[in-house]
Amino acid sequence: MVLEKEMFSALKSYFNSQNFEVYEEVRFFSKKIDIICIKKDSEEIIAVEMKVKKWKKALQQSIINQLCADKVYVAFWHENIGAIKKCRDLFEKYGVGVLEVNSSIIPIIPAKSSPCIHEKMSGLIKRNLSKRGEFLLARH
Amino acid sequence: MGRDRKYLEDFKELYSGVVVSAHIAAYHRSLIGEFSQEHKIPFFIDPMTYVFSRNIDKIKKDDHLKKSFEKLITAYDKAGILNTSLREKRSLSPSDFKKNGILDESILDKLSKSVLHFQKNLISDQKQTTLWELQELAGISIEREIVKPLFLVAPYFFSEEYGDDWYKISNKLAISSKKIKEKYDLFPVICISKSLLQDDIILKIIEDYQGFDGFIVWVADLNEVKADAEDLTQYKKFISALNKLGKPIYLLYGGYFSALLSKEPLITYCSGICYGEFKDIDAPPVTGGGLMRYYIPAVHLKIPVEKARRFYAEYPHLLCNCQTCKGIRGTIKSKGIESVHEFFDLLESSDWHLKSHYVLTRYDELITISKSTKAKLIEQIKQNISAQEKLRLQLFDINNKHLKNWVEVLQI
Repeated sequence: MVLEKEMFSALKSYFNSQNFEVYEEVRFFSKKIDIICIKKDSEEIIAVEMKVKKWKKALQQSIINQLCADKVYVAFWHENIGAIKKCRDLFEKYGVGVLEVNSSIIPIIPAKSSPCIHEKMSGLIKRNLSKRGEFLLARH
Repeated sequence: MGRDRKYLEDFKELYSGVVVSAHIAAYHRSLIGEFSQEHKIPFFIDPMTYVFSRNIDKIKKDDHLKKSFEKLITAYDKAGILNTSLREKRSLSPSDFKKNGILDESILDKLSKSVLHFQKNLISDQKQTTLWELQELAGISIEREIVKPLFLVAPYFFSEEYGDDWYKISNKLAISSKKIKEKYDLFPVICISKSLLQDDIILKIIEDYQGFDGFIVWVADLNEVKADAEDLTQYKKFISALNKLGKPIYLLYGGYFSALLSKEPLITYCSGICYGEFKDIDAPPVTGGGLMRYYIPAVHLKIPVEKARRFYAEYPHLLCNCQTCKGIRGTIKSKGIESVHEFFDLLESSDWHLKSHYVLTRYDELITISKSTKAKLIEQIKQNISAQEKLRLQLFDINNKHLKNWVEVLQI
């Protein structure tokens, strides 16, 4: 049984290596985004939904996350990646990136810039992190 | 009444009456009277007796009984059973209505009497006179009419099975209430599980509830959006069978499907302002709604505002044209996706916008329902389903499966 904890660990290392700070389970309205990555210099926001199997749900969540993130990804366990590869067109149409998680992270589909990011929504993410004491709003 | 009052006043042209929960009436007696007097809006009182048989933590705050329910118990508890159960830190049980294992008519009568007395005497004569005098002093022109409900509502409890103790108690309370209604009409509440909506049981329920002036129906585990076609069919059968008695029927919590059923004569449906299209029997008894939601007329569903924002960012041409939404759009300076964000920023800036959009679009639905044939309404839903196929609603977490269920059921 794959634990999302193991996936998180691999994804954290991956994004840390690209100069992102990584935060887990960040509140966005009534739900939580699995992973938010904020680039240290530019404060670019990446939202990642981790899934072992349920790719449709991950895609749904990612499409909503486009309101608050510059780019969105679904991170999927490698054993079940076949299902996503069959629906590649759908992910590409909506600009949702796909990462395959194994012992390392393999980008399968690149994410496009979000078509509908809104400053108020991304500000909400940063404020929620700030309330947790994990992000300094003063950097803006 | 507290939270909703402003909206009830602002939208008074768009609804035909108000259901007041008894604990709210107990807490805001003079406000109810004032409101009804000033705006001439008919109302009836939901006795809310069922809550005492459910988990009593739902009517507590910080481990104490909410003041509104304290006042209600004071008004209701001539038989002492409510205070006994609270003292014993438990909910009411059927055995509280029994002596030697048999339902005790005197206990049932006492509860019926006190519940109806509360509804008949919401405002005492002295307070009524004072109210008139204050209103006249404030320059409000009023006709001196005694504030009274449209009809009385018998105390009731939720039945999970036909003939279970709560079913018998509710039925006996209704019959007991009928004897003391005086010049008022008396409506029982048929508050049941959908498991009772079987053909043979429907006939038995109709038989048990003969001889009343009207009915209030609450199938507390039937969500008309989530229910399958089979459950909705049985619900429709039940309402149709009850309708044959030729008495008014109020569907206590309903959305668009209930609105469609209300096309038949004598059927009215009720809902809150942006909430209350469905209510689970164990939902906390609060008014005013919770999370901010936006009503999408094409699917007859409310969704979280952020999901609506994302959906309309994809399809801005589908934005609503109700007076509120059109008015907001008229003030927008930006273009493209930014205009959608600006629209939703303005919409979210006030509960009033979301609620007025809801009330206006629901009102438009009712006008359309009243002017259209059943066949035309079904055809409209089918056209919406077809148009929505291209929109990939599920990717935006917007469900429209219920539309297909509704069409299937309405076509029977």
